[in-house]
Amino acid sequence: MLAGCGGRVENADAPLVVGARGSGPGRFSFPRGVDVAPDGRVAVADRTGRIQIFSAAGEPITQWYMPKHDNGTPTRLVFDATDPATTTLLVADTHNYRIIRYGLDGRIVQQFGKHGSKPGQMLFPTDIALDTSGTMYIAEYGAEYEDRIMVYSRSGRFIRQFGGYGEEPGKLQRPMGVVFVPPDRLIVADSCNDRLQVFRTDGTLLAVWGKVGKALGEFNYPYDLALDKEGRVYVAEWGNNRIQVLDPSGRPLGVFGGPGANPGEFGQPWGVALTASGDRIWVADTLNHRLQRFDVEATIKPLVAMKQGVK
Amino acid sequence: MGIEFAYPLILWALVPLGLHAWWMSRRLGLLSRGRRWTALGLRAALLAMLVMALAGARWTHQSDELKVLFLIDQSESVPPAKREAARAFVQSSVAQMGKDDKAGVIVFGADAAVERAPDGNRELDPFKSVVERARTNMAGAISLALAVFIGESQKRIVVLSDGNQNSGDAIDAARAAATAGVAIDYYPLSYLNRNDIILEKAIVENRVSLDEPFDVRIIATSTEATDAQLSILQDGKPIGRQQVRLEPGKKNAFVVTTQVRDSGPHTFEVQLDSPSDSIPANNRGYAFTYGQGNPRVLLVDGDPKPNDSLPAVLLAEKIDVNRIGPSGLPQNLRELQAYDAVIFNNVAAGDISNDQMQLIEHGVHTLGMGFMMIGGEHSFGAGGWNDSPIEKILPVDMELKNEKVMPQGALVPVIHTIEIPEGEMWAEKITMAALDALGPRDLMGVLYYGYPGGESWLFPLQEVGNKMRLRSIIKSIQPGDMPDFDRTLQMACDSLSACNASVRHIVIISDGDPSPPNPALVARIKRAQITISTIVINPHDQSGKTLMAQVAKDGGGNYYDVSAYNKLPQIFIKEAATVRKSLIFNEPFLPVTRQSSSILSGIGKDLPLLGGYVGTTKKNLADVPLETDKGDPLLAAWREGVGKTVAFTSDAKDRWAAQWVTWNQYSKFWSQAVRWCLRAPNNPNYQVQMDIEGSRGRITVDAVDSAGNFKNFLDIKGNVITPDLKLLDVALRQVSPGRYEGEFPVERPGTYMLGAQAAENGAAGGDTVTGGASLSYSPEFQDSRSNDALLARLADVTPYGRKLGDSSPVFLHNLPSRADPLPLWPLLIGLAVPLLLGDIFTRRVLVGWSDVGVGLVWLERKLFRRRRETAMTGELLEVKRQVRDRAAQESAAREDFLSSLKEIKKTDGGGGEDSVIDQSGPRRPSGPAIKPVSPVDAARPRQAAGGDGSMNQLLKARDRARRKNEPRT
Repeated sequence: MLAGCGGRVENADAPLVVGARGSGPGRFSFPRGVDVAPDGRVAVADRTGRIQIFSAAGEPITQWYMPKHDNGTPTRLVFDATDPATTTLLVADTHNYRIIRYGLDGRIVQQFGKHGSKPGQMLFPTDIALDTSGTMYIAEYGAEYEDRIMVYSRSGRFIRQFGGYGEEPGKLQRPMGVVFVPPDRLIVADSCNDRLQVFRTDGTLLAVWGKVGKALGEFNYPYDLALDKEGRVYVAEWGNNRIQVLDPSGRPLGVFGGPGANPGEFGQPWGVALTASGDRIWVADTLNHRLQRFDVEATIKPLVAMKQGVK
Repeated sequence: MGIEFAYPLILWALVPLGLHAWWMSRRLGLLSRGRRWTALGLRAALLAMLVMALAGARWTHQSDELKVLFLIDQSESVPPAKREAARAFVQSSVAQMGKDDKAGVIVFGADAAVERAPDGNRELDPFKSVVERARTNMAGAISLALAVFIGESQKRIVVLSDGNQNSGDAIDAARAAATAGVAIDYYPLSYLNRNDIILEKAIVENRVSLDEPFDVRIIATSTEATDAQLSILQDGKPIGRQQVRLEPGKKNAFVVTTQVRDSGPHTFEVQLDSPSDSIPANNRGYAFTYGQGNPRVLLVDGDPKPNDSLPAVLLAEKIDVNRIGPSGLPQNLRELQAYDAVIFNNVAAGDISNDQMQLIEHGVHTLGMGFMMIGGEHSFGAGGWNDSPIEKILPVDMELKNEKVMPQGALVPVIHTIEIPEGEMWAEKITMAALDALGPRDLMGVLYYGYPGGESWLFPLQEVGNKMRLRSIIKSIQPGDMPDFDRTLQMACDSLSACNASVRHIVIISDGDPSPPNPALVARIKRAQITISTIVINPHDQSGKTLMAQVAKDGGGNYYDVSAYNKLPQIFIKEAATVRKSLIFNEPFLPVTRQSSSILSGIGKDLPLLGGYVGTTKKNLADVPLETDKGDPLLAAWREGVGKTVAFTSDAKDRWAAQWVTWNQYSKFWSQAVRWCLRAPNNPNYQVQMDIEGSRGRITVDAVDSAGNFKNFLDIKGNVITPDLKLLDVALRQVSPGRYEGEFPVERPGTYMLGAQAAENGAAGGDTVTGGASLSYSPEFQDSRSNDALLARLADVTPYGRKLGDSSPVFLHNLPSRADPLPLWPLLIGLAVPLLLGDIFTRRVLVGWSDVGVGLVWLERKLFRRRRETAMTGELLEVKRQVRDRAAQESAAREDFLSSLKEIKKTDGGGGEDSVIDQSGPRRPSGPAIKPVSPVDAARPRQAAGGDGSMNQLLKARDRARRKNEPRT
């Protein structure tokens, strides 16, 4: 297979590695948020305070800086393709207590969020999930013991919130990732409780998946979630330095990665995203200051097959 | 370009060897002419190669490549415009480089750095190297350039400087360059500072009497006749201001008369100002003197509520007291020297920087100052003074060595420093500081978030021991981002709850961003009587601070909001000291007198009750006049270097010493204790003068005895403490009756303090002599014009050196060859080996056409054996047949030749032993084509030589054989 980065011939099973430490185009300092647009373009947020856009082959296309990044930098970004007319990019500008919606040219088209812990105010937003109508489910945390999921309309109007700080089921400690599962579910990466929690979009708790640990089905700081077309859940585990794959009912299918700096290994991955076609996985390999792109066929299928074989 | 020889005399060996070759040629008459000349040629070439190799033959050639190193002076004396001009010149020169040219850049000041190794890039990047600009060391830069020149090329150095060197000798370095064949060109950065006033020095006597007038002398020069305003500050207060007239071309001297009222050192700061002066940086001078009068003591009070009893006592005893808080402690030695003793009254180690501790250590050890630590809950081990420079000079160890009483504290730092710049470095520093403040029986464990281990113990809670092992572990700390406080706090809680230390403490340092700790966990920690202090660094926002403050509040500890990271180690010492509170003994006791001491003179043995003390252990050579009821030191004293120190482990205020404050001997006790450790009074028999000129400091000591006679043959050893607190050993030599001199290097502006011991030759101890001098501004500002003459000398010393102007071509290829000669011996020996083989082959092996044919057959067999049946064509068979015919003819000729030889042998009676013919080889017509023939040993005499009949037959036979072969050659 001829992979697109600089004309290098890649091993079919080896991931494509994009970038290295640095502040120039195509380089990263602790890349944390990653998402893939329907056309395959990849957006990345890192600790330089930049948003970078890459081609599907991993070549840098454009970049822009967040309006402000003295307090801290964004942790997550999400492409919004729910409006068929225009795809936009939503950025959780975590340490400035706001969500910014960018056009793909870097122009700000929407911005909302006011600092505070009351309903409708914002602490540190970490991730955004979008349902089919464009309603936003925003995860947030803070030192105020108010960790929660907030629901905003597409226009940025606060609708409701649920969660709250704590270890009990339904409570959250630093929700770092949230993903919408059609037709009406949310899976939340309840990071500091080392578990995933499944809610109905109205906030009703449906299930709690996993506990702290290294085994299959256990998590160590799950930081981000992605879904493929079959409904499988990809969990970026910050503490276990791996991606864990679950079936739609939360049963573990397998893991890949592990700590290290070789291709295929991760250093505290903060972000995971799938292409619209579901054939490629992008991982923000944070501590290694790079992205890695995996082929689903080559990476996941053996895990699934093995799992089925075990059964 | 050509060949040169390292040992040309060896070439004479060619003469006898040539004769030998000529002689040998006559011995080879048996061989055909061609073979003879070939053998002769090969032998001669072989011998020539060997002789040339022995003679050290080297290939020299001219290199067309030219490497130019630009040495750019970045020192402070070069005006900014000139520095720009230098850069522009280098830029334009580099842009004009030819294809064989390479340019490199070295920037220099006090040190030199290679900014760019020689290369062909015609662009000049911005300079990135940082050099110390406070001095100029051109010699160092030239030496570095010579080291950078490697390989074959013509080599030039271009010095771009003002020529004002104040370190090293550039001429010496230029001579080395000349020897290496390197040319030095220069591009002068000339300037003449018009209207420049230079205050050369301010001079005052080393010691003055109180309330008696003395002179401060000021020496200044000026480039023009000008008026200036002379102002002088004494100890920071103006004492005079006057208009003065400066004349050019001479040293202008002014005198200001003043007096001092207080004992101790006094500083004079002199300033000369003129509105037209071009360089104000060199208009200032410092001098200082010691006023001889009442001793002065600096009392540093660690208690927010000051202790009034002690200063009152000292003042009554004619000891001047300056009372300050820990933050007012002097930051330099000159200020500290104002005092004859420093007293720390219940001062915590965390309130004093390590540099300040070192100042005190130097002040006591080298300069003879006194030091006393008075106890309290922040003092000694309980104040975190373990392993500090202060512990070094005190007569007690901060640790309790008494096995019976072993209180332990336990400390767990939680390290989350990744969010600040150089977070790893700070993690190491603060953890090390905390470790230092603990005693060997205390417990410590360090928690952090590591990669890939997650929440981890850097080392689990354990006895600190001798700290060596833990120090090496701490050096490896690599804290990562910590997502959550809960798990680390849980780990700390579990470990601390399980240990039996009497004081248990957690210190968290973080930006406050991890997920907040569960309040129930914090409450559980508090219930376990474990305290938590927090330090917030670089928080994202106020919420991080609020969280950290809340955790400290709930955890019953201290909260620090720190933006100056260099304060962190002191905070960690302070926090570590909280687990040292177990060293405090809050029980009343009656002091026990153990030794007589001048401190206790006239006080008697019945001392009042004290309410507590801090446990310490006596050091080996310390005197302990008073002990506690448990046998721990209460009052300890010793000599430390030139000075003396005292430790009093209880306090001097109304807490523990409530009954002492009202005791009628209180005043006598403390005045005697302080007087015991005061700096020894100045010995009037020694006059010390310290002077700094350029980069050298000079010390002059005049010694007389009490009768006024010169003291000769003294052994004076001095230590100079530099402004950056380095100690320089200076030996003073006697230069005339009673006069001793020494020198020391001066590298930076600031105060240089001298502490010296003058002993009779061979005697121990001796008199203490102190002095000091200041360099008020960088030596770079001592000259008001450039030194073009020095630069010209540099160029003169090296051949082909030139002065360059703006349009001068730099890349001139006119230097003599400096290509490294290439040694030729490996080549010569390499050639000699095949020549030797060729020589032997030529003389000993005869190759004819038949041999070629046989060779072809053999080759054909080898190559075509498998395909012979099919591949052998009629043509090949024909060739084979022809070759075989020739071989048969040749064989017949050879038979003929050999039979002739046999006949000759018969007629000669066997012939000479040299003419043995080996006939052992196979003789089949198609047999091996190469046959051994007679070896002709030229080294032995041939009996058969001569024109006799047998020889003629032999020659004829050979001619016949040759004729048969001729048509085929």
